Amino acid sequence: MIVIALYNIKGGVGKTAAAVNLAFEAARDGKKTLLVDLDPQGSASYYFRVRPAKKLKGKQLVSADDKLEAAIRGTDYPHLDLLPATFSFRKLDQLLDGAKHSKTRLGHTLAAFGGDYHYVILDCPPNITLASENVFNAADWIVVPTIPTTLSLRTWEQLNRFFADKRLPEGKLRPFLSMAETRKRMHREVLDELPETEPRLLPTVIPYLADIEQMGEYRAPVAAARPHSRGGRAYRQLWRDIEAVMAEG
Amino acid sequence: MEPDQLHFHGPPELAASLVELLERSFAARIEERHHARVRCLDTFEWLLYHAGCTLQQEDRTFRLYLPQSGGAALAAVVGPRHRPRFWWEFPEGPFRGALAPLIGLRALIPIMDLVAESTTWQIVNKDDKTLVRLRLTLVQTGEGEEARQGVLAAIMPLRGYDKAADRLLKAVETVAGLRPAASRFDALRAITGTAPSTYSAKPAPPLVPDLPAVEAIKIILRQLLAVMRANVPGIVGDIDTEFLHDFRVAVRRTRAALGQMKGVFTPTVTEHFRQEFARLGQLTNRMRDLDVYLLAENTFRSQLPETLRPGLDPLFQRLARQRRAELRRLRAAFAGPDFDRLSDEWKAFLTAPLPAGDAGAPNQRQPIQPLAARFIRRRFKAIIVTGGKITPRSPAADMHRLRIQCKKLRYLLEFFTVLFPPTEMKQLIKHLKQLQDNLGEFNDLSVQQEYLHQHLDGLKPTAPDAVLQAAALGGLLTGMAARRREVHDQFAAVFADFSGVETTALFYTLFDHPGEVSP
Ligand SMILES: Nc1ncnc2c1ncn2[C@@H]1O[C@H](COP(=O)(O)OP(=O)(O)OP(=O)(O)O)[C@@H](O)[C@H]1O
Ligand SMILES: [Mg+2]
Repeated sequence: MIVIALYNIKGGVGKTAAAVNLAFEAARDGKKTLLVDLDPQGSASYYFRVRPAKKLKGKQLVSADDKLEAAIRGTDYPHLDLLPATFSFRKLDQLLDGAKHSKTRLGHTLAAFGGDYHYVILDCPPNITLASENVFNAADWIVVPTIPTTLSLRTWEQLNRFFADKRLPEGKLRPFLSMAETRKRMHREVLDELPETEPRLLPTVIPYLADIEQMGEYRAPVAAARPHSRGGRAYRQLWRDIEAVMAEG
Repeated sequence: MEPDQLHFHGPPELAASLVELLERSFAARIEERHHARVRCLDTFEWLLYHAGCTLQQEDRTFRLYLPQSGGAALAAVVGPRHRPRFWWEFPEGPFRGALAPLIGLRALIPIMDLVAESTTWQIVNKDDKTLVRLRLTLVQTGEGEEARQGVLAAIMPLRGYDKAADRLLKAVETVAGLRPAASRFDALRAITGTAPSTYSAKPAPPLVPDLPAVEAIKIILRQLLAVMRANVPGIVGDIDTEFLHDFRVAVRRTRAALGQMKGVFTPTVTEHFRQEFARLGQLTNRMRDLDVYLLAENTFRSQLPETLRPGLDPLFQRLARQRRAELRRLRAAFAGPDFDRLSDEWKAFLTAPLPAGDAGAPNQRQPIQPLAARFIRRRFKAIIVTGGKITPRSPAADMHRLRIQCKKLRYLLEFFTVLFPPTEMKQLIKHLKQLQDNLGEFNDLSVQQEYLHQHLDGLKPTAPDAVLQAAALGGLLTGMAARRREVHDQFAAVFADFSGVETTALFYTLFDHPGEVSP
């Protein structure tokens, strides 16, 4: 089981879009994959047309529970399952705060039922505080969508500082440039400079594309609904980057 | 994790009833249509099937379904005119890696050829999310008189949508004439009327301890005859080398049973058939030798540095040529009347009722178990005596003699396994096998060395690549000589283990007979 988290404290940077499409690519290669929708908004679940798990309590996510496993749903695509969001995930932070070993809880829970899967992909909500340390511990790789702006780069630096302070392994962090628009000057500058200064940057850039923006309308991974689209190809390429990172260890 | 699929089959008309059912009672629509010619492959004895696997070929793609893989397959794609039959003829990768240990030296042969036209229906909810699928496949096989048709229905549930799957299952079960099957493959078998092979190279004879010896031996010999007959088409068709191998083992076991079980048949009968089967064995000796060399080609090559490997080409070209000639000879021999005549005569003898009296066959009515114990004990003692005299300076002929004695003991232990405690028998056979492996390798190396020497002697020094050839053969011979010494040196320890207290005690407890004086 390899756990990959899509994480950024900032909202609207393309975490969910990446989680959905990368999970689809992972499963397409025949690897059993579970996408875990940690966001109470349930966007990832929405894209797969799966309703939020009504009876699932946030508590069950932190205290390994059979009921959690029972909430898993098969998506329309081979080898790809989804653990849908639940409205009570909103209390995730408080719950984790109360739990013993609160920083490693999520990891234990995933290990308890995720063993069936080759990949577990976490779609994280924005603005999680305590829960983020759980994610950092549980994940083997933390993929960070970053919009090519100066403000986003500062957030990236803050994340690195947090890792350093908490003595977390910074080697797990892998940023990629998300929603890039080459017609914007600032985007162009970051696109030119960041590859020079950040060795952990994944080489594939996900451009700002209508195909991706419209996912909410057609409710499917880009490559499933529009097999030959640029968006589909871009996520496939990004998944190859991540595979290369995993192969290096 | 995809939950298990549920399979059904029935006459082709049921396809229409199933579609009507879907349209009437479910929010269903067609997701995908697929038309394919599908070939199912397995080995002669259905090794894949008996291991819970299936292998299917669609166009140039081969898919291997392993047990408990939840519908996922390992795939291999081959070139347009490429028809791989052996595992080593597939491209390297996980498919080939999984196939190799499953089929060994066996060839893949087609067991079902069909045309499959499938339609996958998805049953959806109001969000247009798929809840469960039903795949209907019209299957057609054979032509004209032989043609058969049927429909295959597979319920393909999705995790977490059990209710929808249950509802579909209940509905499908109401369709009269539709029958459940354990797997898609079994459903296909039912439609095409294909039964799995029951062949076994070493069938276990159904013996009981007080069966009269002659009855027991005849049961064993009838099974061996069936094995011989089953392998002839594969030998003549040159499907793979295992047919000849199994055939020869059955012949050797027949001769051993005749020769070992003294006093069960009259000496005239024994002598007559022993000679006949000795001839039958000899008929195939040369072919087997050629098979063994050709199978060892890759091993031989890997023992040489890259630059010397081409020096073996003429040798293997010659072997391949000789094998083609030998195959023609063997085909002619099996096409002739000799084998059928022997086989019929033998069968008649083995099924004939016992003549009254036991002139010349004093043991024929003895109960089989104590008799078998006596024969096994005798064999074991002979091996201890022969093996005990072997030293590192003993000639190869002594090792050869011991190897033959061990084979005979092995056959006896295998014939009569069911008459003795199974765990102990397994243990004895394991110990014996270790000794046989040592002796077998020594013998193979001796024979191969001799053959390569002959080939080397026959080289014309004027041939264009004579030097390269000689260097390659020299390289092989050097390696073989070293390995042969090693094997010979290991013999003492292996034999000490076999003749040690543990095995000896086992032999005496299992096969000793109070009141009998050892010879
Ligand atoms: N590459 C892209 N091109 C165009 N639109 C995009 C792209 N990536 C994401 N979007 C759109 O931007 C919006 C935000 O994206 P997404 O939901 O993936 O971000 P997020 O980081 O998960 O947001 P949140 O923090 O709210 O969970 C969505 O409407 C999505 O369709
Ligand atoms: Mg999101």
